[in-house]
Amino acid sequence: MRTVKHPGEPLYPRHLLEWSGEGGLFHVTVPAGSDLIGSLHAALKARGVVSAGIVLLGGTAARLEFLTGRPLQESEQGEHHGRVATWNGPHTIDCPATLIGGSAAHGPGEDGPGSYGQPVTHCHALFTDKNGNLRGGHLITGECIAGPGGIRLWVTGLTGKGFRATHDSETSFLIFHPLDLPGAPS
Amino acid sequence: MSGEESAIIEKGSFGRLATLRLRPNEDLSQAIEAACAEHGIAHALVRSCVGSLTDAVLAHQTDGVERETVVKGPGLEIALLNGEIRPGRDGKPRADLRGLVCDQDGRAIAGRFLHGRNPICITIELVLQEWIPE
Repeated sequence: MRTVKHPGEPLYPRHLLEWSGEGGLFHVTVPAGSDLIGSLHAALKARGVVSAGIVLLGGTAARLEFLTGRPLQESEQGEHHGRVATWNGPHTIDCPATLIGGSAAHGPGEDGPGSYGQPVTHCHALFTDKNGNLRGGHLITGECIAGPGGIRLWVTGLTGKGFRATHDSETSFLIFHPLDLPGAPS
Repeated sequence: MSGEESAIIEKGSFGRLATLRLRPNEDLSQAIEAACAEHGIAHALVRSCVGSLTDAVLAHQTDGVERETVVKGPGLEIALLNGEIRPGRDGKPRADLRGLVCDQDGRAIAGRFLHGRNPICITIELVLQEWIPE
């Protein structure tokens, strides 16, 4: 199994697990014409859901751009904080696109020490373009607009401990970790 | 149709929810198994999973033979993942994970994630839910 050298020292433990409370189960429909992630953020905020595990059930997109990952060559790493991979794209899908499925982690971002930032959703999905070609990758906030019938999701709200995005010194990316959530008992 | 044997059914209920982050250079399946073993999780379902792999080795069946597809990264995005954790023959948690990864052009490759051969690239973020058989 190949391993890669990240810019920072390895952090331990290598797997982090925290028990979470269930903060509600929600079936969400993002209506046609609305941005998937923006509309989802508004819906979750209205229900007081600050963190969640999310499944994309399906739907259509009238506009869709996405990113993929690509390796960084050594000569490029200097301008990318020594990272081993970066984004490739954005790629544009010939729409209407059919969403086949996907998954997401949702939680507060990082504004500064001891504060909770704006919501972040890390979402990967699989879809077909208008010719039926299967594609997939990382969805971009503001660039996945629901088509006719909308986009449906299944949301498992997390309380107590859940996803919170913090800087990861090993990889030099902002990454979700299982941490105390706003409102969690101290 | 006649002659079919009854399906095996296991009644149970959902248990606790767990939020996980798996770090780079660990095998996807083995890291989930290690986290489950450490926290006393014998049975669980993957409720959500997002992240990336350095390389991927996925298996599929053709004419009764298991074949492997090797996808080179790094930076392969996991677009979809279904899976469960159940005790293996040795009684330890064993993950059975299936799904699709996407390469840098967004092409999707599907199959079963082979143990010990799917190194995590940047992160894996997942939610597991315990399954409690009666």
